[in-house]
Amino acid sequence: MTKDKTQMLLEAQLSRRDFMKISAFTGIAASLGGVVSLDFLAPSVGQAQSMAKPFMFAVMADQHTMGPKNNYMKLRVERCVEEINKLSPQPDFIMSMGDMVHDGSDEQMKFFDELIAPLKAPVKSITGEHDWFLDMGESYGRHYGKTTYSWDDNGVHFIALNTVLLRDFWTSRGLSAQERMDIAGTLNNALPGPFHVGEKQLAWLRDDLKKVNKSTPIILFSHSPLFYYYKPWNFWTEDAPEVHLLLGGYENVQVIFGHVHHIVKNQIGNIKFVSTLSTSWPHPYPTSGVPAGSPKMPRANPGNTFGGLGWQTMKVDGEGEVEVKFEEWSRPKA
Amino acid sequence: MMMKTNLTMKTKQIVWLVLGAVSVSLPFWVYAQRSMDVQTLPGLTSEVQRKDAQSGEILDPKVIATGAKELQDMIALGDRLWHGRDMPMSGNGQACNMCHPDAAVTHPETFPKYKPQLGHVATIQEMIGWCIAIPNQGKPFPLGSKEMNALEAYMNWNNRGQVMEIGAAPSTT
Repeated sequence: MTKDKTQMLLEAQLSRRDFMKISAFTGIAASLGGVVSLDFLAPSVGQAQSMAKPFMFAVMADQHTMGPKNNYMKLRVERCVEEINKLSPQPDFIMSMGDMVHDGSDEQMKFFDELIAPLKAPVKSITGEHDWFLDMGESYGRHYGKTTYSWDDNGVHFIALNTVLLRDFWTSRGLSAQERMDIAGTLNNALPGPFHVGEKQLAWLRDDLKKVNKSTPIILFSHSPLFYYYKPWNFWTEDAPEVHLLLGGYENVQVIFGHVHHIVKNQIGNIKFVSTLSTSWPHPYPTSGVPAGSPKMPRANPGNTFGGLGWQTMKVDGEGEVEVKFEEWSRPKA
Repeated sequence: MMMKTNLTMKTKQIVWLVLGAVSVSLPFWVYAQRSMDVQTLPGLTSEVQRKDAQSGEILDPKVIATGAKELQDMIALGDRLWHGRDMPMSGNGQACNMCHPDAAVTHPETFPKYKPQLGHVATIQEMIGWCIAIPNQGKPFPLGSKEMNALEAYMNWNNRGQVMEIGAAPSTT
């Protein structure tokens, strides 16, 4: 019998009984007219409050390389690598946002690795569905290591998640690995349903955040949008609200996501969301679900090999605010 | 002088004869030409079909049902081709569905329009052909072929309800 999800989330901080005790105590204190601070009830944190040190990192996303048969994808990754290498100073690191290859094979990953080998700054990765569903992350693990991890740098807590998990739609249907990959990799195929973070990673995230002070800026990398954007194209993470709950109370949270191949921004409570440009092809904006106030990129020219594509730099200031600069190739340089 | 008058008379007679022959036969030429045009339309192969097509009578419900089924089959074929990643649809693994899921931003309602890639006012089938040939590196089907009509059917089915706006240039991706 699995526990109710809300119950599990509540248990992480306070049990229901403790909560009732606190409520009762607050009520009595308030009726006595005294000013009561409940700070001492807050969970203790291991880290001292820290301010971020200004720094910059680069982000490349959704390269969808298909080996030597697709020269366009190769040319676009080469341009991205060349331009990131020209940055001065070099970024602290480069995040690759997933869907580095299209068909999840070891050969395609080898081809991609050769393309990005000239990058000077260290490269970190998260997985996309195209990297994953041919062999359920076996090749991904060999090439890029873990998919769920965190690290602290320059006063910022970074989190990387695998947000492309799908329910098992293949076993009962007796689908081959290739069929599973093709279905999971088709944007508008309804069979697999929406993406999930899953109980295991939610538990991991809950533990990971225990050591993080509420004033520490958090930057979270996710392949899929960690909010409800547009379900028919699987711009959707079903259990995203549970991640939002875990990130509640943190002063500065920035989620950076791939998958949508166009510029879109959103904010839910304390959490800001920004997408990344791809180097493969631009996806259209869906007919509904684009968050109010989000910028929209101009129509890409299909006659331009680099139209509507690009990469980005992300500058983090002393407050942990992330300033995104889209290096969109079809826009004239200022 | 007499000879000259006779010659003029003869010339006039010939001219009148020719004009008469032309005016009498003109409706037949037009009819013949129209018949040929009708015969070149695909699908209208028999004399009966041609008569039905022009009779103005209420269409047989069976014909309507068959037509709907035929169209559904074409949309289904178009759907398969739209997702195709092998030749002749694609030589590099790129499918129509990647840039245009559910035939989004294809804007068939704006065609025909001037396409810089083609250098002339092009129909939607010409544009589909360009996409197959250039981004997909495939081999386009001939204009008006079953496959090209199927791709157009799938595209238009997904874009039904759009307002006709020939030549318009959409602003966002």
